[in-house]
Amino acid sequence: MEHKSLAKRIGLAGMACALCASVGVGTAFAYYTDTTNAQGALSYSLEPSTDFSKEEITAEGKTIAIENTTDAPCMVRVKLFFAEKNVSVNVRGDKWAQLAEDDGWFYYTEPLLTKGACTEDLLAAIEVQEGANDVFDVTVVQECVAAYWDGGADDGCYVGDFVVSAGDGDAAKAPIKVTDMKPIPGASADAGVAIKGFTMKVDKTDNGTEGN
Amino acid sequence: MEKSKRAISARTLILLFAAVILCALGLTGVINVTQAQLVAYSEEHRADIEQTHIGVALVEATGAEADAADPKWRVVNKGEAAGTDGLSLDSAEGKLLAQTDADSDELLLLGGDPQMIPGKAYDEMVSVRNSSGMDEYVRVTIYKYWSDGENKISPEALSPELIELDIADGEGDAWVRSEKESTAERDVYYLRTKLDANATAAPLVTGVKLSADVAKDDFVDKVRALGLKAASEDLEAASEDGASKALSVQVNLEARVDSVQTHSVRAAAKSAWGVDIAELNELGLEWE
Repeated sequence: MEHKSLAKRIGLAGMACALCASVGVGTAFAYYTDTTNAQGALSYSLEPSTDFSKEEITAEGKTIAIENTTDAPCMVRVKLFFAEKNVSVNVRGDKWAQLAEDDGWFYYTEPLLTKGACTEDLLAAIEVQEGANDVFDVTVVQECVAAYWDGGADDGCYVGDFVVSAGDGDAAKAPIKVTDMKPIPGASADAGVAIKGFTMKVDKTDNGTEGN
Repeated sequence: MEKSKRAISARTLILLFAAVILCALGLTGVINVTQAQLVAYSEEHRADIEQTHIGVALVEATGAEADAADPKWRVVNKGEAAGTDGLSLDSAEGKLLAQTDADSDELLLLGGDPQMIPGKAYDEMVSVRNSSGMDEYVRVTIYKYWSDGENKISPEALSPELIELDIADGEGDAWVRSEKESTAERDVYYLRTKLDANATAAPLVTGVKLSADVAKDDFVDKVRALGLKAASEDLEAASEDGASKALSVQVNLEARVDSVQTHSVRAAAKSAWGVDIAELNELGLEWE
């Protein structure tokens, strides 16, 4: 009898302890808390693409304008290919520029940010030389690259990584800043910049097109 | 015997009469006291109800509204406990980076740009509001990652570091970064001091920018190597204008806020979040 009663007591004490412990666990999680979250996403398009929005042949020569066909902001440049034997070409246009060290390309000094954004007209006055071939081409090539912002200098400026040919003939991409560009005479100017003829073909990039 | 019987019953009668009067007086008195106590209890009871929760909400100010001196906060999402406060959500419920201009419907963040231009800083403020009448301590976890619109792209494939956030966690700023809890794509920040009832904390995020490297060939090659499937609407749009499908990814930003009571915060934070306040206080936190 004595043993049984002791066992019962110990059992009861154990149950009491367990009950106390469980009560303690319950209160441990009863702190006031609150939580919430939110998320957002923005689409980013990587490959800009452009096309000629205007390529008109007039009595004076050629009028060229480029249009962004994507939502990706881009910088554009244009090059003309012709034989000096046939024609001489003078180029002018608002917001168009050459690099301080002329590489034969005409750069547009503003990025084409949105889909449908167009450059100002680039006017190429073409004068046929004496003794020119009956049939000749003045070929226009345009190219675009993704535009980005360089906040480093002063207030910052737009930049595009264009392919430039290094001295040893290798081509590599290099950043070309808007601030590196030297504007050419505007559309209303009497004379533009005379350019040298380029008859060799360049390796076109994926993002360029060619017109005749 | 008869005489004594009559005397007792007379005394009993008097006593009974006195008892009845006393009872009547007592009863009216007791009723008064009971009423007075009921009124007093019911007032205390109402006060108790107001103390039964803490609430927290995420707030955002974007683009032109992210004025450093006076941000125009919009409530993006609020906690369950804050739900009873009558705090209404602004447009773009539960979405960050999605606040639009009421007139033009353009995203306020981009300020007219069609998408984020790499290297360009955009004004984006994210902070926390205490939406309850009790003080609280808060922490915010920020996730940033690239995705293909549906699935997350691993941080090894496309680095989340290319999504740059301006964070106010410097010396003297309101927020403190917990190095221990942070990873490449997740950062945990604690508000240095307690957040007063109904107050909005100083902004944690103050700006967002894509690294200029996003515009470089290396990044484009990495995205191309992922071989992302075109989203169906992209394909439709591409076939409409005859252009090839443009390669695109998504920039993702996620914020989560947790709040905890100020009373016994050491035990509360340990229990609710599993963090040791003593360790955090070494980082410059002023909790407790």
